[in-house]
Amino acid sequence: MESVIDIRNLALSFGEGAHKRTVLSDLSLSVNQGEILAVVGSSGIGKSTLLRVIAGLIKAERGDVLVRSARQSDAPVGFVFQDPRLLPWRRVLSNVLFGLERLDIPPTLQLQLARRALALVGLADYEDRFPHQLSGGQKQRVSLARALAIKPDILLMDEPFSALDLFTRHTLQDEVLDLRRKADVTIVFVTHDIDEAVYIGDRVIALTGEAGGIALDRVIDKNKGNDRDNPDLAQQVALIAAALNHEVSSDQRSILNP
Amino acid sequence: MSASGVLSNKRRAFYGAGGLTAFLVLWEASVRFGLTPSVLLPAPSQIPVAFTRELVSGQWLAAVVSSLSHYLVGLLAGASLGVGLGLVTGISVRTEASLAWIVRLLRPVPGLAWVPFAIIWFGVSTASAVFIIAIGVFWIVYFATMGAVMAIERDYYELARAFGYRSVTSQWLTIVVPAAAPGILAGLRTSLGQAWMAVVAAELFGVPGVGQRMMQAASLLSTDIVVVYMATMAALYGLFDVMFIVVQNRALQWKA
Repeated sequence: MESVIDIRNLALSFGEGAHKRTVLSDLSLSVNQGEILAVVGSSGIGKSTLLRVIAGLIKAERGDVLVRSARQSDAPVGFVFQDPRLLPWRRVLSNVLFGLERLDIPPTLQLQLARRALALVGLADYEDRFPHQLSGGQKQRVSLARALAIKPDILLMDEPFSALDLFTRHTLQDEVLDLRRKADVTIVFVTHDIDEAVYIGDRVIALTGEAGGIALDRVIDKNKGNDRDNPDLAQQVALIAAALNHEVSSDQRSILNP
Repeated sequence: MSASGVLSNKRRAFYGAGGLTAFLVLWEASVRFGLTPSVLLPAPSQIPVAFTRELVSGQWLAAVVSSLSHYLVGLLAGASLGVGLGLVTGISVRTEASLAWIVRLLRPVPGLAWVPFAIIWFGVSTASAVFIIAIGVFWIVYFATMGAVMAIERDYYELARAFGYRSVTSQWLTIVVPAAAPGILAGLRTSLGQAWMAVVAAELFGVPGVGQRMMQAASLLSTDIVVVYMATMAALYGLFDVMFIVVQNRALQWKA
C-alpha cells in the first residue's frame, strides 16, 4: 500500500539556551493511504506537535516531512482541533464553508459540498444556527464537517473528543469509522485514551520522549470484529498500556497474565 | 430591592417618565416662584417658544446642518484613521513598538489644545472644526481597535493557516476584522458622544454651527436659546446613538 505521509528523522525543540526543550527527536514514520493511525502518549510528549508539523503549521528543525496528495487536491489536509474552534461570528453553514471559500471552485458547488458535509455529521437542520446555540458535541461535529467539506486526502485529528461526555464520544468515534468507509480518507488521530486509539485505529503508535520517538508501533487486529466489548481489543489495550507503563486495571492485568 | 433586574420594562418606563416629569415640574416651579431668576435659567415652558423662534428665523436649521457636517466628516476621518492604524498596530508588533513613544507623547494632549494649531493651519473654518473633532475621535477608536485586535485568540490564526489562509491579507479579512468588530464598534459608539463634545468646543471659537450660536445667545443672556441648542444636541446624540445601536446589534447578532 502506498504511503501518503513520510516522515524521516524529524527533530523539533522549543525555546532557546537553558530553556530549550526537545519535543520530537529523530522520529521516522510512514502512514499508508486509507489507514487510520492512532497516536498515543503522555501529555507534552509531542503528539499535537507532530500533527502540526504534518499540517505545515510548525516547521521541522531537522528531517523531512513529505505529504502526498493522491487526488492532487487543492486542500490535501483537513484539521480537527481539540477544541471545536468554530468562528463565533459565522453561522454553522458559514463555518463549514470556511475552508471551501479559499478554493477555486464555484460558490454553488461550495454550498453543495458544505451541506453534504453537514448532512454527513447529522447536522443538516442546524445550518442557520450560531455556534453558541450548539452543544459541545454538535460543535465538534461542525468542526469535523468543516474539515471533511474540503474533501481532504488526509484528516488530522487532535484529541477531538477528549472534552466530550462518554456517550457523545462513542457516537463520534463510530462516525469517524463510518466516514473512513464512505470517504476513503487517511486519518491521523491523536488521543491520550488507549481504548479510543485501539477502537479507532488500524494501527497505534506510542510516542516517547527518547530518541527515535516511537516506543511502540502496533497494527490492531480487528479480524474478530471492532466491538467495544471484544476481549481481543481489551487485550491490545492492556498490552499498549503496559508498554507505556500506564496503570493497568485489574481486568486488563488478568488478560495480560491469564 | 436591587437596582436592576427586578422591574418590568413597562414599570421602568413608568418610573423614568415620572422622574423626568418631576424634574421638569421642579425646574418650572423654581423659576415661577422666583427661586431662580429666569434670565439665568429659563423655565422649561419658555423653551418651545424659543425653539419656534429659532426655527422660523432659519437659524436653527442652518446651525444644525453646519454642525452635523462637521460632526460627520470629523467622525468619519477620525474613525477611519483610528480603525486603520489600530488594525495595523494591533497585528504588527514592530509597528506598535515603532509608534509606542509617539503615542505616549501625543495621547495626553487634549483635543482642545490643538485649537491654536487648527486656527493657524486652517483658519476659522470648517476644516479646523473637522480637525479638532477628528483628533478626539481618533484616539478613542485607535485604542479600542488596537486592543480588540490584540485580544484575538491566537487559535483563530492557527485555524486560518490550517485551512490555507496563509497571507496577512486573507487573515485580516477572515479573522482580524470580524473578531475585532465588537471592540471596534464599542470604541466607535464612545466616539459618537466624544465627537459631539468636540463639535461644540470647535465651534465655540467661531466656526458656524450650534456651538457658535450658543455663544452668541449666551453673550446676549438669551439663556432660553442656549437651552434650545443644548436640547438639540442631546436629541441629535440620542438619535445617532439609537441608530448606531440598531446597526451594532445587527452586526453582532452572533454574540451570545
